[in-house]
Formats: sequence, C-alpha cells, structure tokens
Amino acid sequence: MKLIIHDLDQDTLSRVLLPGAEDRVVQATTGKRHCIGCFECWTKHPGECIFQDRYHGLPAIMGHVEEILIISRLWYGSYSPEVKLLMDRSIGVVQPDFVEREGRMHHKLRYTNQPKLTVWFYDDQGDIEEQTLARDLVRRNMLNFTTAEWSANFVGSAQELAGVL
Amino acid sequence: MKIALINGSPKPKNSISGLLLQRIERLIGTEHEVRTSVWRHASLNDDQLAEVTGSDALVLVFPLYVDGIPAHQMACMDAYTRYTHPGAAKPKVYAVVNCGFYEAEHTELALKLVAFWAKRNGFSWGSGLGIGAGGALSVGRTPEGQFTGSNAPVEKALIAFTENLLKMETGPDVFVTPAMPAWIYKKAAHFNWRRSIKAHGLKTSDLARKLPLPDKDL
Repeated sequence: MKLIIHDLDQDTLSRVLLPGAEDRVVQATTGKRHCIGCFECWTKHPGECIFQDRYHGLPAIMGHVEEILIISRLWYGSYSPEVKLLMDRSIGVVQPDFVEREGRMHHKLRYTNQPKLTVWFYDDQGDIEEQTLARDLVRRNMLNFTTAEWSANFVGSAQELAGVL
Repeated sequence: MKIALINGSPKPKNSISGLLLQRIERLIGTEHEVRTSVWRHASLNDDQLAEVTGSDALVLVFPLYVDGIPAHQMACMDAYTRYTHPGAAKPKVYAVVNCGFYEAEHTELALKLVAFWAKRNGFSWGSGLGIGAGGALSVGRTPEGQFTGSNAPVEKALIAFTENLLKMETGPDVFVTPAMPAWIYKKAAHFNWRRSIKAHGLKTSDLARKLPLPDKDL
C-alpha cells in the first residue's frame, strides 16, 4: 500500500498515474490550514494533527504504508508550498523525544514500518544546484522519518510523469 | 538604510523567532529605518507587502519545519516576489533559522533554500545564521532581550550577524548552539514533553501512542 501525496489537478493525475486499489491518494491544494507549531500532535492528540480536516490523519497513514510517493512541483529546490504544508502537518508520525541517528539528534519513531520514500519533482529546469538542494531535502526527510530507501527524481513537466510513474 | 525584518513563525506568541527578531531589532538601533512584519498566515495583503518592499535588506527569521522553510512562509515569499515590481530595487536577503534539534547544522539546507530563492529572483544573498537547541532560548535573557548564560554564544552570533547586515556584507553561513551539553538539552526537552502531555490529561506512555490506519475516506 502506498501513500501518494501530489499537487496535480485531478485531470493530470488521472493521465499520469493509476493508483492501486489500496493506495491512499492525498491532493495538496492551496487554502488549507498550515502547521502552527502547537505540538498538540505530540502532546494532546498524539499521532494526529489537531486540525480536523482531510489531512489530520496523514501521520497515521504514513505509519502504515510500504511507500510514500510524493509528486510535487519543484519550488526553488523544495517541495511546492502546498506539498510542504502536508509534510509540516505530518510530524505526528514521529514522537517528540530525541534519539541520535548518524551522529545527530532526531526524533524517535512512532511506527516501525520504514516506508520507501520516492519523490518526483516536476517543472525542473535542469539546474544542477536546484536538483542538489531538492535531493538534500529528501535525504534529510528520509533521516528524520527513517525510511528504508529513498530517491529524488526530476522531470521537466507534469505531463512527462506519464511515462515514468 | 531601510531594513525589513520578517518573523516567519506561525505562533501568535512566545515564538523563538520573535525573540531573535526583537534582539536583532534592538542591536540595529534607531539610526536605521526598520520595518517589522509577522508572516503568520499563507497570504499577505497589499498593506503588508508594501510595508516590507523597497527595503535595502530583507531579513527572514523563522523556525525550521521538516528540514526546510515553513509552508506558509513559502507562500508569503511567493507573494513577495509577485508584488515586487520588476524594475524596483532588489533587497539583499539575510536569514536566521532556529531549530529544536541540538545541532545547528540541521538548519543548513533551509538557509541554502532561502539563498537560492533570492538568487533566482534577482536578489543578492547576504548571509545566514543557523541556531540549534532553540528550545533553550526562551530562558536566559536580560530584560533588554540579550541572550545570556549558556545562550551567550547565540548573543555573540547575533551581534556579528547584525554587524554584517548593517554593512550589507556577504559572508558564509554561521551555525551556533547554546553552550550546554546535548544530554542536558535532551533531558530538559524530555521533561518538558512529559509535563506537557500530563497537562493535557494523558500519560507519559501516550507520547508513543500508535494509531490504527485511518478509514479510506479521510
């Protein structure tokens, strides 16, 4: 089972990807509530975002899937603001307590599933510096969420995803 | 010199970014035209944008969110670049990022992302300051906001950062963590999380609570 997070419109998504029957597909759109740093996903409702919209269960889904597939517009070396909003609201997938991994402090895991993390960035202009930043972001996310394996991939446009997903 | 100071924390009060911004503002002094703005939401109205555009320097002060820039601030940065007239003077961009992890180097990528955003939009990049153990900064300050005691290294770094800012210099990013052992910071953080969860009527073991897979239809 995969969790698919994307910022495509539904028409484009249907042309580039056919999700499996069990897959969870979450569309990142503008106008959604962003993380406010309340940490209540750790101390009041452990494991879920306090905002009761369609994103509040995301951390729990992350804790049960074999793969997290992210499809995002490339934004100055990062996920798009819409996709990043979902990532920010997903910190309930880990616990607040600290542990050391690879010589640095990270959060203790809440779940043991260790999903694969696959990211496809579109609207890539072929700038090596920007691709390096994006790869570093995904690698750092992998360390924080302790995924089993990861990859960051780039295509020039959303339409080009059709042949690679 | 016109300086725009942006607090990118979404917290309405008690944000570490707010404390850092206040300190920088005080260190800048009264000889310069300083405009401060709080970017708590994912959009900015024209008044908010007009307030901070046209400055010589733009200073973004924000917390690290999932290894990068908080999503709402990214949206505000987009609004800022859309609002800035193509022929208008371009600011020099500086950034101060604090994180809850002990090691300040966790902020390295977020600073690079801001620098890249600046470059892509034709702004020049000044320098960045990355601060670790952000949770320790809420204590150990004088009434003037000066960081003292184990937070003295942060004060020193803020002074150097502000001096560079006022000279409009470009420099390497600097990383600083309060002068306390990692194990003490970790122990204090764990104590606070336990106190916080108990205040919400839960048990310490609930910090590790696992939830079942949510229903298909979220």
